[in-house]
Amino acid sequence: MTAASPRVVVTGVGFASALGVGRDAVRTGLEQGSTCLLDLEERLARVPPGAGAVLDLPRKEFRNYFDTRVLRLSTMTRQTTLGCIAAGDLLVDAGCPPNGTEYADKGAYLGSFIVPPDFAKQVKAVRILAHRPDGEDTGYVLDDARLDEAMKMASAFDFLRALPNMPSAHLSIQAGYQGPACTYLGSDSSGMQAMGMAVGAIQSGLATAMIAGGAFFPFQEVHLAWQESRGLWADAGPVAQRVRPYAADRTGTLPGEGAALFYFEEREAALARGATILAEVVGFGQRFVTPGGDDDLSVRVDTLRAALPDAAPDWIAPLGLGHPELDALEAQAYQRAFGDSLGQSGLVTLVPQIGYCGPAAGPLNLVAALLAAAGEASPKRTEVLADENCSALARAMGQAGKSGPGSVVLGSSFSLDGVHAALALRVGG
Amino acid sequence: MTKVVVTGLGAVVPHGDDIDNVYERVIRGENECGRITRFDPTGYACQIGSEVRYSVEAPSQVGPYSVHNHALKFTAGAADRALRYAGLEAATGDAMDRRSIVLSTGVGPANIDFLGPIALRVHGLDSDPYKSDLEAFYGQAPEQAEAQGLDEFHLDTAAPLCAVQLGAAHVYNTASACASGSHAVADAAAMIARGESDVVLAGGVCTPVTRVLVPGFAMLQALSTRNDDPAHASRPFDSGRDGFVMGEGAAMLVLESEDHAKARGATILAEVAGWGYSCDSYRLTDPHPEGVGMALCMTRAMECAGVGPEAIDHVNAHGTSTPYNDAAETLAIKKALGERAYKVPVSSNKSMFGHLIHAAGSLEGCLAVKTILGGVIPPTINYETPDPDCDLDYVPNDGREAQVDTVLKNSFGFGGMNVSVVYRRYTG
Repeated sequence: MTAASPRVVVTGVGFASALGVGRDAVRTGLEQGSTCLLDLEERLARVPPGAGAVLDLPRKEFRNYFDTRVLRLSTMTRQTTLGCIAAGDLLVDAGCPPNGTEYADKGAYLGSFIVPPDFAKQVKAVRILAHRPDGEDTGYVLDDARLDEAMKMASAFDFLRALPNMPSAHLSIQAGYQGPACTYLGSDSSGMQAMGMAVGAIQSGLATAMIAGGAFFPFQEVHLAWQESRGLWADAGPVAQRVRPYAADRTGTLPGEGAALFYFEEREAALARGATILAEVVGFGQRFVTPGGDDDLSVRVDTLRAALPDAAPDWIAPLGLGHPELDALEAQAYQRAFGDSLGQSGLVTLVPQIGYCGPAAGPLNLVAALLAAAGEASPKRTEVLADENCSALARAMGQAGKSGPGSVVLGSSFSLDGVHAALALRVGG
Repeated sequence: MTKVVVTGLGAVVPHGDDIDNVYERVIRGENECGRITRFDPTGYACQIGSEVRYSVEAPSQVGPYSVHNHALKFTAGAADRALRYAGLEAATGDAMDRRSIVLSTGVGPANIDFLGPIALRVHGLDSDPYKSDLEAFYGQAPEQAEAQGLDEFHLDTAAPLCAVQLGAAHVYNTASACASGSHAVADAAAMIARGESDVVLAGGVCTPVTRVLVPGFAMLQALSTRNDDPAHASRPFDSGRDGFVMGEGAAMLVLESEDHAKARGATILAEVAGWGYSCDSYRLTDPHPEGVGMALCMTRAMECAGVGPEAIDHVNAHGTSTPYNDAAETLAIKKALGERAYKVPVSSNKSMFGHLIHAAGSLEGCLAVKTILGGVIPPTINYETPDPDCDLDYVPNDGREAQVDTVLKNSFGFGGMNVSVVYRRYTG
């Protein structure tokens, strides 16, 4: 952040996960420490890991968050819907709900992930296309001549809603924003990346305000299997205790759906409209390294230090997946970046409660940590029997950091793909 | 603000894999749209594509990443050519922190093909189709076929692969539909201007000529169905236009801070002088009928560049050949440039190679730079019958020699996402 750049503040947060929607859901969830992870039913019960956390929000309540006459559900994936729910919550929280006005100086960046379309529909289509050649006992071919029949499984909306940029397009339409719009993809850190790019857009003068964060829906069979192949899912213990960040006996994580958005605003614009400033952006860090190499740890450290070069965090929001190797790398990175000063930090991760929400996980955790740092919520402290590598972060889970104006919050997202991002905020502003 | 310059261009596209030669072919108005050969399109509503029909030279492995499908070959090939054009070697150590990748990838080539392995196992198990499918799938899965298949669907390794080639410590994937390629260039320029990077490899890759995406976009009524005359299917601004032609390929630009380029003695090809973003905030599929968002991003790009309409010598149009886009873009150019709109040559490169979707903005950005250097504006081919709603100078059918110092490049996407970039002759 250069001295000449405009100061960027946070004037609202939007939250949607299995805990519910809005700040109250976060507060209650943090204080009770209850988990929403459950055994899944029907189709998804057969799919590894067979458990996860979903937002139970009746469809008729969507209209509480966005105008379903303007944003048609038939054009949305679940991921987009979650983003729009969080955006509706965000815009009210920031004091600027949609009112039909168009804003040329505001924009929307969202991090998400390309999840393949409905599996059952795809399989039906493939079953029409695929056939065994006459006279052969084995082997199959895809018969293009049958495509017309197979395509009857699909509608134009299937293609429209699957376009990767649709989540941020919907947010722009929902908010009436005519500024920059983009969906950032490619890794589980893309939500945090979208936030960093949004801050940059304001600092560059491209917008006076940006809504930014992540949205994610993982419950598609092939996606779950793909993550299983990457060794992400936990397989030991009752579902409610299966995700155990930094614990010595951790085995992995479980999937969850959700979205979290921040309202980033040029400080002068926020003051001019009398907005309540929740926090100011201190810094953003983003690094890439090919996974599995010697630099895995040092690049994570660099990412954290790029976001917060000159201070120690009062609250941290690492991912806390409960994954054996990733948790160890994460804990060592925080330890190496901040050393003994971590002894005063509190830690917030919602993953044991709402599952791992991919590109939305970092933003979701950061919303919760920000509310804790602002003194709006007191996270239930958790005692963890950690292994040596994770002791620093396990200790932080059992203590409260300093809250109130001036408190510094650092959130991070370290992805399996090697894309790492971190964002630091200072409460007040 | 740090000045942003272009020092390298690279492409693997239907017209070839040497961007200088691609430009020569394009200014001659050579067409590459034809009947689809990647699969048998008989019976499809749209049977036309613009394909890379030659063997692409690309490394089979880049660092830990396997270059195992044509999308990744296009990516690795285009990146390699752009870096060689710029005379850049992969950075190591701390130098990597000043280098970034911004790539637009969208969906990979897998689509229904990647479900093939699943189909092979499920076929014949039809007592309870859904149950059988899952049992067949998960009884043996997840195996490499599925994992690799989904990687191909995501195309998530494309940008990291480029990061290894450049030696970059930062990676971003942009998705703003058909504006994504220019979005990547604009994001890259902004990162350099903010002082965050010295070198950014920016661009896009797209492989949409597949069994699913071609009929899918046809369902959205976006594609030309002029199947009996593929060479004339892409006809931007012509009154007979009926949709675009899907194209495939990859194109990238090396952007650098002026100081960095000068310090290493690089040949500076052009300047990225300005960029502008906007969103129509109107509808998901249709552009705003009055071109409001399109005009807004053109105006913003010119403001960013510190120039007015009088400085624009040429508009490299989005020009998809759809009825809606070309009329709305024409209106928007008139809004943004005023009377100047009638004096500026406007051409659509897509008339020759169709719409490369995520790579369209970066390929056409490469050609905008080449136009500044080469002094010939590419034509809009297949322009035969004027449309009253499209009443500008579209450089019909023949390339035109001209002194071009400043090009306004437009890219507009589904969802109303718009990006314009101003490329300018570098004068030191």
